[in-house]
Amino acid sequence: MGIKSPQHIILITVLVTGTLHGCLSSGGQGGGRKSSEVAVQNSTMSVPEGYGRLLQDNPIILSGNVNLEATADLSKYLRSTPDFITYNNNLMESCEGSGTQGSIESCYEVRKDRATALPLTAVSKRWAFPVTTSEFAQVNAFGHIKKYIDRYHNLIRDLYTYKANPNTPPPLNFYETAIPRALYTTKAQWYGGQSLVIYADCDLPGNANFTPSDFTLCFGSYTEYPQVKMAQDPSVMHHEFGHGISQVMMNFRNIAAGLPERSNISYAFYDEAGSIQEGVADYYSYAMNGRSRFGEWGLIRFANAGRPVDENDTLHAPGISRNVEERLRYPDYLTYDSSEPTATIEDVHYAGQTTSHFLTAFTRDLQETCSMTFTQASDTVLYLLTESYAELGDLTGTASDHSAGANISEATINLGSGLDSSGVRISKDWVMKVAPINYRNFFQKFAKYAYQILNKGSSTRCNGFNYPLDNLEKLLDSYGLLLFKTYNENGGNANNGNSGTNKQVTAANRLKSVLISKNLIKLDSSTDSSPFFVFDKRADILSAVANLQARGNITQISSQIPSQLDYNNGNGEISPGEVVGIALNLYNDSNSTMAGVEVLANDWDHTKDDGGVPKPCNSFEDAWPLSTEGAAPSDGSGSSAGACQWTTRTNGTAGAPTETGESLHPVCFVQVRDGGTTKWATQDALRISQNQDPNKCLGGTTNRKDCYIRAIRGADFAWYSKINPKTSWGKTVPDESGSPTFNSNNILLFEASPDIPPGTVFDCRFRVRFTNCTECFTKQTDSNEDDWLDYEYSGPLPFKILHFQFTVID
Amino acid sequence: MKTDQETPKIKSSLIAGVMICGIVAGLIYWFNQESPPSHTPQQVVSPQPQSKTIVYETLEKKDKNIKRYPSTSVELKNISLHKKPDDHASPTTLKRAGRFLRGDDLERFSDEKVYLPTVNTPNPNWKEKLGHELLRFQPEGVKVALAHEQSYLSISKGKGRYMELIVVNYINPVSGNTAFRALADSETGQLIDTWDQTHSERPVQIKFTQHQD
Ligand SMILES: [Zn+2]
Repeated sequence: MGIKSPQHIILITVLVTGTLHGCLSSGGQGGGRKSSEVAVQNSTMSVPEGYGRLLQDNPIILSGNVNLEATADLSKYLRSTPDFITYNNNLMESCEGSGTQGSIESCYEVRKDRATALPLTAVSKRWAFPVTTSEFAQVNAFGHIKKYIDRYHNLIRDLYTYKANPNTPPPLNFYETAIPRALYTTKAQWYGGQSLVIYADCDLPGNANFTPSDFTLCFGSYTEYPQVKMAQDPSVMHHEFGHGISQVMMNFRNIAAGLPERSNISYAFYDEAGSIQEGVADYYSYAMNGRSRFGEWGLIRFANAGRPVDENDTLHAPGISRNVEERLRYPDYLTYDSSEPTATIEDVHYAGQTTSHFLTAFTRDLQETCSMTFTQASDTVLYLLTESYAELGDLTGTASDHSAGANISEATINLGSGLDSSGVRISKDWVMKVAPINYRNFFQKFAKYAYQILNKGSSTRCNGFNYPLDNLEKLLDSYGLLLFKTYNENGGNANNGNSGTNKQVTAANRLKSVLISKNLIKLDSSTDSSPFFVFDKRADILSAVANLQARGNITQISSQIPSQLDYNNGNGEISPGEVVGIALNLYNDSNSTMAGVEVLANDWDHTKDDGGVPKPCNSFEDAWPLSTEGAAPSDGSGSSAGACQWTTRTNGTAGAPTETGESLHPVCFVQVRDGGTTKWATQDALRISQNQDPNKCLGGTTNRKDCYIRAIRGADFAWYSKINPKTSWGKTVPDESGSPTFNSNNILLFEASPDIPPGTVFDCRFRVRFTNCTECFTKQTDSNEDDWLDYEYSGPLPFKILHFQFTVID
Repeated sequence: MKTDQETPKIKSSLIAGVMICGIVAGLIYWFNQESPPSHTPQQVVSPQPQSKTIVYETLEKKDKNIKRYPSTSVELKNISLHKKPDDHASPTTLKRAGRFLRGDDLERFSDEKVYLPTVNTPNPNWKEKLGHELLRFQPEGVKVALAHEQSYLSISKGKGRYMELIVVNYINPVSGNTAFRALADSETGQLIDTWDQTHSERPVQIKFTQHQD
């Protein structure tokens, strides 16, 4: 099935296409490649065997008409010269590996839709179909995605063999690559070696998606304009393919290590990993066409949903330009939609624009500073993205197959690959919620690889020159993204993560990237607001649970909770037997915009064992509870495992003898009567005082710590895009009616046992942080301003602690 | 690398091949190719699906019970994962009791002579139990097409837990299909962890309305 010479033809085409970008309009008015507008009848016998015709770009670009009608005759924009498709009899292709390893016989294929079992078959060994047909859309998708697939495989092979070269450890290699040695033997370069199935004419109105569980891309069409297909717009297809290969890169190390689990490119309707990923996917599209916006036909023309990737684009609102003062800065533009500049929309695509604009600006800088061609510069950016995602998604925790200064078995990212008490890999929780990708961590990682590859050790990989690091730092700062103090080269390992080489950022380059103290995030205490919102309407919560479960976002719901949520009474309070949504009413008490606010309701290290009874530590910043109200006894001098001041190095999994007395505890405590006084105690203490059978705990007899109130795993973290100065999130992101729209990412879900005695008072101790926070990632006590180590995110220090206290009402 | 489950199939087919001498050549060809040539005589082709073909079963809620049956072609219409990815498990992937090991101290526990207490026991009805978990909050008419990919034995703190690697496909005629990969408990069917969720450009928003006094 492997076709040799045509691939070379395609390769040349890619190179030529790469250099063509300069001929295209950068003003975003739809490009200048106007065709002759003579209809080309794409009949079967008008092409040689193995050939067909593609729309060379989307119809807006080809026609030069931004208002091109949906009913336009697209055959006018076909060129008469045929395009090579494949000599295979079906629309499918193989991919080469590296040397003798990793070749994939069935690498990608195109089918009409999910109901179609086989890839499209050639007619008389030819691929020419009338432009209005579904067959044409399938061939068009194949041809355009093939270009990117070839570029991707060539790039990764080049990195593996020459540039990153994981088989050569330092000091012979000049940096520690995250690309694994077993990349090709395990076919990790292609998600384990399965065929990428592309559905070019999917039943997905006005939408496109990437499904990693079966490694498919789906491109829909518009219900109102059925002729308009996403598969007619290469920029849309390249964006979606960008999601696919980002997911592949994030799992290079996991597949190479034989882990069954995968990291995801995003975890919620809105989270910063997802928003950065949308910007990265927009950049993937830019890397193929060099244009200042994407989706001209598939998104902008008929859905008003396009996005610029460059401040020079005319879609932008006045006041935005490439001028260093007028860039699409984080966090100011996180909710900005160029088609509706006054609206504030919490959406990953709009938020992603800062990322895409930074990446295109960095590409231009590489072109200018390193005299690189557009293709060289964008390949360099793709290289840095590959390394960044390969490390950030690493569930093995090792970051590189040859971490210098660290024993290979010692984790340097995402804490480690061990399992927690429920069998979930700890690193997976780190990637998803505990230390997830955000604008600070992502661009720190990107900058680390840019530094190590282009600058460090007199590198000449800037096309024979040494890339000046000030360029990168100043550029990041102009986008508000210079939020880190060091490049964290020494990783997050508990033993050596704060020692060893660690390049520091030049502080003078930080002029526009604003850091805010964690102490300035609060609950809204104004008299006209409640510090919390409780959602308990039966229909809403049932729909949320069903949806989140069907999407695979939440795992277990207690068998104590009835399947029709019969206890949910919609009274806005927490009642026994309900599943409830909780949102903190977060308030920014600073004079700058806070962004990437995350609330964690997962188990953490905040209790201490007192004679076999865990009690809440009160030695943290919240000084809660008082010693007279049930706090654990003080540590005394020094700190060792088991003490409140000691944060577990293993997320509470090691136990004795390594970490005697260390364990995690759920967020919620409860008030119990103790003689004549009330004390804050664990939920198990309430169970004992109530004489309740442990079988009736929400998690059954082996999970007594959250017997009565339990955060639902997967809905135990919440994200808020940004909070304006001196106001609340709700007032920052209002809808037309002035009140906020709560999405699933804004809400924590809790189960309440039917057996909670009415009147019981709970206190849940949430940990909160935000991306542009002074103390949440940088350890202020470290003289080198190094990052918190991975394990420290099991404890209180990198967070602001906020309490949610409530009484259960029947 | 082949999984343990495949070995007996290959062996028994080979024995059959020896007994039916007229088709030995065809069998050897099959063994080498890992897929039967189109002209392979019907009687020597295993009626079982190919080792790399994923078998789907449908889980459906009927009168509060979970019905399990081989998925129909109509149910599988929109499901495209039909082949298991090649088994490229790394050379360090170890096994015990025919299951891949996952977690801590795997080298030691891959030796079956080393005692390993377990916290659960595989239940032959784990799929029905899983079906109950997956469907109890779902509206009428929603089904699950389940693909079982692999069996694991997870080890944490010196204790084993049997788990199953599955692909869950929700078939929802109203709001559309969804899919993800997961680990489920081999006894209770409870989901332990999930990944590989669909990334949609326009996901359906889940709305939460505030309580009004
Ligand atoms: Zn996208």
